[in-house]
Amino acid sequence: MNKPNFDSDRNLVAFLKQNQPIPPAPDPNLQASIMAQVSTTKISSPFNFKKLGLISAAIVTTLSLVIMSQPRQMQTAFNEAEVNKIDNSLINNWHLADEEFTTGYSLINTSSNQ
Amino acid sequence: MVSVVSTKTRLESQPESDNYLVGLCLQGHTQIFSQLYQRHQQKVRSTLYQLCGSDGLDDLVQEVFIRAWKGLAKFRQTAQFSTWLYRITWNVAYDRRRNYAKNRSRHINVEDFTEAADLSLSGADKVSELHKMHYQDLVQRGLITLSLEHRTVLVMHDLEELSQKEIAEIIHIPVGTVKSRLFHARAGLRKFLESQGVEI
Repeated sequence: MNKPNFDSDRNLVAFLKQNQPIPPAPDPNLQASIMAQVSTTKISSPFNFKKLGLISAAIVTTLSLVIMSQPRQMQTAFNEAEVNKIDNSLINNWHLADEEFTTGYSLINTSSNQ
Repeated sequence: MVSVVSTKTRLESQPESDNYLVGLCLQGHTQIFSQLYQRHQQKVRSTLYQLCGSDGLDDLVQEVFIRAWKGLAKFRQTAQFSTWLYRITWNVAYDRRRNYAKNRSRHINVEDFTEAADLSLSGADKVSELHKMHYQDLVQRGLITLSLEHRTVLVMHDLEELSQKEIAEIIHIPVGTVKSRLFHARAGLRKFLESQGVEI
């Protein structure tokens, strides 16, 4: 079954090769025309994976720096004036609390004496 | 890995090899490209003629070599330059078919065979030559009846004598598909030739 097919294919291929269509001759100026175009055309640069890697690394580094700088900004959020203001506020509140405690204590004492 | 590197080195270092010439082109020696053209233009021309006919053949050949030049930096030096060039040839033929499909009304001109006839022949030579031209015309017309996919595989395998593996690489299809297309292409062409009175 396969042998007739094989022979038939072989005969067909032999016929095709024997009668292979021959292309018409090229224009005599074809090569010169191609070379003229080649001399004015640049070879395209291939896709540069190194360049892509460098860009990716730069993006990652920038993002890392931005993220790392966030806590530092919070730490330096108070300037000197604000620190002084907070200190004063704490001191004032401290005296106030002390007075209240003393007054309260004396009030208790007074009430117990009565 | 070692074999790949050694193959690459061997291909690049062989004077006059395609890959050596490609290397020189990439270094800026533009004129070297003419040697690559002279080596491969006949194969490219023949393949394009069998795939697309004679209409605008010079333009198609030019398109192939200009695309090859522009893409020279993308050519992997471990590969065969001829296989890569066949790939470009196939792309150009495919694009041409797509443009023709848009225009719909274009047909391959097989009358060129008549124009190419050497009418100075006489007697038996002339009859023999006319028979040959008739059969060439039939083969060309038979190829046109096939789809571009089937025609490509048949032309590359049976006329350009590329292996099925090479064709699979060029067209990016499995080897099994190459076999299948070759089977159908041969059957289609045989049927056409028989309908024209040719017994094979």
